[in-house]
Amino acid sequence: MTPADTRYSLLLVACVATNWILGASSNAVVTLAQRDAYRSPRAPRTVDVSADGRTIVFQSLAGLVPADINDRADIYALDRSSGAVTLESNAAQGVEHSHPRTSGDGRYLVFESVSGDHPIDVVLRDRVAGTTRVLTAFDRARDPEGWSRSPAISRDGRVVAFTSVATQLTEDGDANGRLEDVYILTLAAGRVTRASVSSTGVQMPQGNSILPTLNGDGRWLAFASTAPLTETTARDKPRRQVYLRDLRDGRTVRVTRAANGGAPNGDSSLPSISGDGRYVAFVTEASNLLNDDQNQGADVLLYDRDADAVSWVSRGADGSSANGESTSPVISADGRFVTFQSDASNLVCPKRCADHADDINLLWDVFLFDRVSGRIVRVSEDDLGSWMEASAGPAVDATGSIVAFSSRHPVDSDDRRDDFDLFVRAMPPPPTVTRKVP
Amino acid sequence: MKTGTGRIVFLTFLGVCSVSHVSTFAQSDTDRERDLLRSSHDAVRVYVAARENDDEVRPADNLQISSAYQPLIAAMLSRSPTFRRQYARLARAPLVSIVLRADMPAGRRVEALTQIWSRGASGVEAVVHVVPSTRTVELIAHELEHIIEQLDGVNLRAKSRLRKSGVRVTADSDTFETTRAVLTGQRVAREVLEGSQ
Repeated sequence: MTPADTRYSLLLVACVATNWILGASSNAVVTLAQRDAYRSPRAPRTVDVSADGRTIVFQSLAGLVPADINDRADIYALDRSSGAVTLESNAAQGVEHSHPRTSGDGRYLVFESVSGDHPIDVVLRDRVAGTTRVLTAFDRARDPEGWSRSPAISRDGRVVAFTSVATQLTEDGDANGRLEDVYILTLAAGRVTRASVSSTGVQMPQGNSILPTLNGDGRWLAFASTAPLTETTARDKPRRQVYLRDLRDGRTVRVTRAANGGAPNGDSSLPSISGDGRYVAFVTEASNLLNDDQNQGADVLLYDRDADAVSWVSRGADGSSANGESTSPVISADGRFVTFQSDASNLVCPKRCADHADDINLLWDVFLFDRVSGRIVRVSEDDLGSWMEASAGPAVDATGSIVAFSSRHPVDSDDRRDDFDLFVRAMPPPPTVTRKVP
Repeated sequence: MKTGTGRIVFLTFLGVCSVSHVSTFAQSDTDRERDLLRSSHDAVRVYVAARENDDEVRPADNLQISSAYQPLIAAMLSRSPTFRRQYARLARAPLVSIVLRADMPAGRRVEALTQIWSRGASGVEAVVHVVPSTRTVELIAHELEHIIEQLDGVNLRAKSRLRKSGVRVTADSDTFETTRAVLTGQRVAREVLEGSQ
């Protein structure tokens, strides 16, 4: 038996053991080291979940496999069915990766890559073919200072969206120069188009456009922008707004409108779009998008394209305002669930709570909102029923069954590190509801 | 019947192993070596909540305890899971140093007081003053929870402005009180009392 054969045998034993553990307790919470001691709870999320919940892609500073020899952040994928964790980024010295996002089947990943003094690039990884491609390399060759970031990929893996300050990505010039724009790359055609434009296709000379998110087939794009992309916003005080663009028909609509039809009195950002493009969850600091917003902080709202209306996500269990801030929403592809983080304490139980239900930790916790029942449940709880330490940056699969998030909570009794690690939780089935609660 | 079930389980395992192994046989040795280096089956763990009941309490090097309180702290550690959790949280915060004193600065008419100084990148220093009384256990746990709140980055001033947020400004208007610290102190006192019976 060669040393390699011995290793394969050991791998096989480990595989069987892990399969058994994961299979025997399908509702178990599993953890993965991220070893992020300096993470701010408000930092961007560092995880994504495939549509079927099988693949978890995440960023980690830990060297989880032998090939990871650098001390930088790398991109990994967990296959929940086998328990295998694979390194998906180039773990060479001096290279760092972040912002992982996955296609629906977990085959294609997109993420940011920074190497030495080079600006940020957007990378596409095909996990089946085992290939990695820098999507923005050609553009940077023409514009060495032009960095790109924040990639998103459609569920079918055909379309990638990203932002860039590069000025030569398209042939029609760049009206706002070094300000950030949203671009769409159709992978089969290799064609890049600017998407942060008005319904007439016009790029504004001012404003940054950031944080793109795509629906399942890549037809619908949501993003945030300070550019006045609709007639209404052109007259308003400049705010960051959330826009929804139909890439097929070339129409751009503003999601963030005051309840009285006027201008929002605060910024909005961090959109997340459902698989069919109907729902967009987002964060707003404006207090006039809905009535009765009394917390003077960020809230998570949900836009329904069919109804052309917004509704609450982060709301007290008794229907009052959340008594804290909420942010980082991610909507399930089926549009029913929104996971988000909040430091409000009245989302699950407003008063006279059972011992462990009382949210007294004053920390960011992770929640799951069910649009059908109107209920919010906590996700970041330990198996003793207690609230976990600060938890943030959640992601969810297509049906709200699997939620992954980062938490400072110790992963076991031996965890003496004061850092954030990844937790992956299988959620219990939601209650059957026959009537939609307003 | 048991034997039959065992066979099924064994064959299922064998099947899983075979399926898992087929793809590697289809690759070259070099590919397999590379894949081995880039994958792991040990990285994912099933989460088990830290049960400080079962945990050996390790000394917290960053906590200096007045000799008057050392026997009491030992009793709290042995009887209260909540206090063990607090202690473990403080012990794994390397840039924090805490002094627990059995006195009160002159001119302060309170039973317990914590003074916290942020030293920027150097960390946090805290001095906890607790006057010996029948509530000492509760007050020590209460004050240590305030330190943990600061380690957690809780913005007490901002929270105190929100309705029913669990943070309020005290009557003398220069300190904050939190439901979290109050309930934690009460819980530790209850656990220590129950543990002594």
